[in-house]
Amino acid sequence: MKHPVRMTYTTAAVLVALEAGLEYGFDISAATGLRRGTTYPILRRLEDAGLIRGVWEDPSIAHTEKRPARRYYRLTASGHQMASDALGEFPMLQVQTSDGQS
Amino acid sequence: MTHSPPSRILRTLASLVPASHRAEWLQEWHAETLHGGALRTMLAAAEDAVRFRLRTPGTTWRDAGTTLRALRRTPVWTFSVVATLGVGLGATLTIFTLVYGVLLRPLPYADSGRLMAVEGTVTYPIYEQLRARQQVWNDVGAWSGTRRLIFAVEGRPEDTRGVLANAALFESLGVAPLLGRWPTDAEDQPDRGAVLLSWGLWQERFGGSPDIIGTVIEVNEHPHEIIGVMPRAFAFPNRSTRMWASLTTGSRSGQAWYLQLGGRVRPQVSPAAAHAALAGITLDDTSADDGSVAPLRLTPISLHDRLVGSASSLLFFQAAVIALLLIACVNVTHLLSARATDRSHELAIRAALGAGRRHLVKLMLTEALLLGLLGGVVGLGLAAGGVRMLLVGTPLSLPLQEQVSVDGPVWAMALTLAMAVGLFVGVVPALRLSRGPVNGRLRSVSRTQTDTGARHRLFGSLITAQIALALALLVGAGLLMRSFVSLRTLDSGFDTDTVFAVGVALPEAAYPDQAPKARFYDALLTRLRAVPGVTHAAVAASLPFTGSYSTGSFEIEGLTLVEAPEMKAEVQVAGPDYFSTMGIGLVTGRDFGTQAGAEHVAIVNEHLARTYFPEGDAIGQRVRGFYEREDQWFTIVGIADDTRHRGLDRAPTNQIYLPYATARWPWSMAVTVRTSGEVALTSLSADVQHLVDSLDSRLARPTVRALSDIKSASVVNEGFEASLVAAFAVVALMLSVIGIYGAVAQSVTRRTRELGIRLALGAQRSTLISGVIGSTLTLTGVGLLVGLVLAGGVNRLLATYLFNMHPGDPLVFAGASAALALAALVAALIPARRVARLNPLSTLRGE
Repeated sequence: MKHPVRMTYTTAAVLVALEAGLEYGFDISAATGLRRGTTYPILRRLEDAGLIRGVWEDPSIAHTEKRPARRYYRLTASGHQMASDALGEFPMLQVQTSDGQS
Repeated sequence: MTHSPPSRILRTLASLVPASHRAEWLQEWHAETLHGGALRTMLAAAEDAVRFRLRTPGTTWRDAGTTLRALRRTPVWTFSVVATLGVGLGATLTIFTLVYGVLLRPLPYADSGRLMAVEGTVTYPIYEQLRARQQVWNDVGAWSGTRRLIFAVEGRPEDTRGVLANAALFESLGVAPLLGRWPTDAEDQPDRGAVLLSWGLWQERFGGSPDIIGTVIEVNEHPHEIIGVMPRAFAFPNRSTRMWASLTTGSRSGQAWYLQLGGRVRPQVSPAAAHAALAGITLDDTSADDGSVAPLRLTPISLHDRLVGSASSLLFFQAAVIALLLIACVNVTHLLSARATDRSHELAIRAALGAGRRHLVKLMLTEALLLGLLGGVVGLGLAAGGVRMLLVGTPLSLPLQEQVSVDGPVWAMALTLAMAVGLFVGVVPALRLSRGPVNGRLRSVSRTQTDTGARHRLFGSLITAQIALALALLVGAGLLMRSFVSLRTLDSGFDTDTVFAVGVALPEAAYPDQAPKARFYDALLTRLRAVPGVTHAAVAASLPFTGSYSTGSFEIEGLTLVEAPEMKAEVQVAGPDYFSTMGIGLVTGRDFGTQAGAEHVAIVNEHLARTYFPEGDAIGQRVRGFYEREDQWFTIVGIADDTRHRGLDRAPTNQIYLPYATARWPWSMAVTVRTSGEVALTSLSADVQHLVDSLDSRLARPTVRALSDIKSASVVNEGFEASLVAAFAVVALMLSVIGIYGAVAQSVTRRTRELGIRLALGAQRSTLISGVIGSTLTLTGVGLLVGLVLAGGVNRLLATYLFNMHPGDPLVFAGASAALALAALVAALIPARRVARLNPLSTLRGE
């Protein structure tokens, strides 16, 4: 199936991390083992392609925790579809995700 | 957001992000700074910002990103282009590094623009006069040429290279010693002095000990206090200087000796005013043989020019590598043009989707610029290695060599050149694109088409330019190589095979005048002649090919000044057996007698005999002059073959030989030894060491060198320069062949349809092949004609470097032209053979 963004291993890893519920760039980077310099450009491409949507967290939460507000990313419908395809194309990601969750 | 360093860095990086996304990007990364190391976060943010920029539509950055991806998809093509540009830029930057370091970089002294010098050398009395009369320099600094200094700390004397200098020199240069202090005038005494050590000598010989300051050592047999150590980078006047001793260290011999002068212009005086003031001073020159006083004016120059002298060969190399770079650029232009043709369909699609002509041209120029920058990176790397190789691994010797390094100015030149080259190679394909209808290319889906006249003229011009430049380089290299070979094979008048030169420094305290020196040399020669394998041994005042020689004016008895207004000759003081030892033929007459039979006789060379005794009656005539007593006549007893004592590139002039038994000597004598050919340098050195020790164990270690090595070393620069230019020419030839092959191959590809049609209509393959080759050879012929004119003009600049050769030597021109024509023929043959395999049916079916 053709996707608006090329399905590379790193892109698939980020999609799977998003599918697993991770929303913050730093957390996605830590979970996938990718550098943030790699993770964030992937998030930007996915956002440009409409596969994910970026939202700012509630400022009051950031204010309470005395830190800058974070931007979170969530999969859109097409993003969920692409994440499923990612697991199909890179089955090992499924194993790693399962291991991480167990 | 705070003003912490990470925040400031983020704000700087944010400038790369398009304005519409900047605030959010900044805020997002600001949150990231709380996680992990600041450096990692900043690097990640930088990467994200750059990629963000590259992805943004309608920007040059996005074009760069698109181009980079396209280049990655064609690695072989990209490698070819980058390698070609890298070689051209690397050679250019290598030579530029030398040019900048030697000719353009300011001297490493404070306010070096105010440091001046005087052209040439002057005598000590002239130095003293200038010091008393000038008012525009702080003081007059003086230094000798680099010479051998004998110093002794404990035990055996050692020798090193150093200069004699006064205190004012160091004050003018203003370089503080690493340890200690500058000398003072009060320490510059004939019986004791002060000495500064180089960092290298201090480390090697004195263990780098700071306690060395205040130690008294002997330099040229007189006590000198070590007052300081100069910094490691200090190399005045050149890299070989390892010691600076008091100026009067060399004055005890009583001989006139020559100094170089320099100084710092006073703060209230401009350099121009100082120049005029110094040039206007008239001094009294009392160095004439007859004791007369002549007015003398000095020529002020910059200290930089004094130290560099003539390094114009560097400029010639720079021109040569620029020609090489242009040839490389032409090749890359061919490659880019072919690529533009291949991409014409892609570009047509872009145009159909809304990309304007301007954007497409920008896209192609961006590609060319990127390739230029990549070539610049490769070139810079090659230059760093090339400079190191030239300075360390070759005989190349340059003044101010310690200033040569691949640093800021070279980097700036690399960036500038890379961008200029990128634009240069990209403008042709871009202009072609801007001329034709872009949308029309959608309909023209065939990659093969007829070769339009405009395209043919364009590529023809490029090939012509390549050939012309390559020919100019080949001719230059050919002239230099022939000149060098001519130098090396020239009859110098000496038979240097199996001859060795022995250098023994006799300290003045133990050998104050000629008599004790003569006893030493006679004893040494007697023992040397007894060494197995030694056939002859002799002494002489100077060795050939070392730049050491003496000249003097002379008179011939009975010949008035009107008949021979200016009589000067090279004067060589030599012992018996000198001519046999050095292999100089005696045309007529006899050699000098032994010490016991000392006579006031002279031997002249054929040049002098022909000039002043054209009727062949030189034997028996009398001559005088050359620093001898006025009333002392020398009778000519022999005529010797002409020799090239001063250098292989110097034509023989008047030469007079005087016997060392009766003539006045210079500072020291050189010993030469001829062997049977079975004596090795190492064994002879050991024998000489043993003999010198047996005569006087206090002497410094003698040096022994093969005269053939000295002769080769005298022309090593010429040989190296010729080899370097030849290397450039070979690379230029290879690049030209590649360029011609590429152009012809492209042409054949473009004309496949046309050629197929002609074959189908009955044309002979041989005719078509001849046509392809013929058009290439025609272009080559035009290129050769242009190249001949170019070479003729450029080679006039070479004339000063050529020996015994005319810059228009027809053999070199013909040989270079033939080589290039043959190379062009071979380059054209390979693609032309494809025509032989063309199947007209397949070709037409494919259309």
